[in-house]
Amino acid sequence: MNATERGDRIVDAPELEPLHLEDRVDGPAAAVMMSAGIGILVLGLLTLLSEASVPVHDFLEKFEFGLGVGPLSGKTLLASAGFLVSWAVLGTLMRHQEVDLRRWFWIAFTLGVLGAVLTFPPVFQAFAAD
Amino acid sequence: MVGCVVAGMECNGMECLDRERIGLIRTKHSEDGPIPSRVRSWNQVLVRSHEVRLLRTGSTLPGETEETGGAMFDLSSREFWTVVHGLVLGTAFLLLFGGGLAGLWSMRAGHLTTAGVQERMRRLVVGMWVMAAIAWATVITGTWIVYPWYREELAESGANEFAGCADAILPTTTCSPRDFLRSNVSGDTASWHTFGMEWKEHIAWAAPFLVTAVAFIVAYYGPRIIQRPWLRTVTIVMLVGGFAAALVGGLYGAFLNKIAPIA
Repeated sequence: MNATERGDRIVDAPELEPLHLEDRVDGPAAAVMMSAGIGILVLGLLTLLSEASVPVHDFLEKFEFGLGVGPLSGKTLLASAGFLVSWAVLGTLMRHQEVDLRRWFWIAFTLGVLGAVLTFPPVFQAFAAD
Repeated sequence: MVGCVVAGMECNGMECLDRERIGLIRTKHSEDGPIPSRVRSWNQVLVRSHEVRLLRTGSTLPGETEETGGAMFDLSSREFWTVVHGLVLGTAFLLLFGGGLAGLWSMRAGHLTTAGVQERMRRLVVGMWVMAAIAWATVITGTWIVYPWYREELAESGANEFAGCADAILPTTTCSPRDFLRSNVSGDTASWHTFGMEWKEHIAWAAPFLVTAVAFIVAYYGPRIIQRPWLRTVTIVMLVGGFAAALVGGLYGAFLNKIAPIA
């Protein structure tokens, strides 16, 4: 199934014909889109959990390595790890796969928006532990 | 961390103090007008960073000549990293975003020659990877270098956490920017921390994720993106999303550094 068969419109571009470009599968692009969504979601979830749970807050603080960053160190390191590791895994698994890029994009978009909402202070502060 | 450029001044960790200059500032203030009513002691006046800068930038004080004035381009390491994080990297990101957006927008069938496509695509790929690197550098310097100075716990053990902020008009050696904002000693400032900083420090990290994804997609598809209008559109959406996240960080960073500067 190629991009056209999935409803993704392919337009004519005569200026590309001299370049003799081969088709590319959409798997790697789907992987990086999903990884960005996962990274933002991890960031949002950890922001919420750090606010709601003292043990989680203290756990995240352990990643600061004495530099005084506080729990933000754990949130950002784990979110970055979520992005990079999921990209490595998905990218490897999907590197030769033809996938429905639209579906993958919308799933990634939903994860990203959810993560971004969870980093909005009025949202995560509503769950603050006493 | 602070180096005192003006000869004879001593560093106590956050600002430069010099008894002789306290006297000069006192005289200068007496000439310039009344002391602000909120200023209870001259030490507070001294730690106001713009007043220290007044000395450093060559504005002569009574009894001081050009030759004896401070250095022209004095910058503490905290000020240096704040500028690198916010102004240098932030400005570069902004410029690259404008170029990247225009480049992606122009990748439409029939708009370019074959040679034009090749030339623009090379520039777009390089620009996107540089933009991604700058996004990472911005959040890393912000989180791991500048942010610890913002949130220092300077109150003495057992004391009220805002005890060092009493009567402060700006952050001091005993009152970090975060404590200064939360203490409300200089107006209703707590929400700059509870909303502004709390949002900025988290959402800004979405920028490197999104821009890295955009850079990969542009590099992976290359000129093929011209034939895929939907793919080009969602790539632009991701790029704008990354920019929006950086914008929240940049705007709040600029305001926070005005209200509670790290110096």
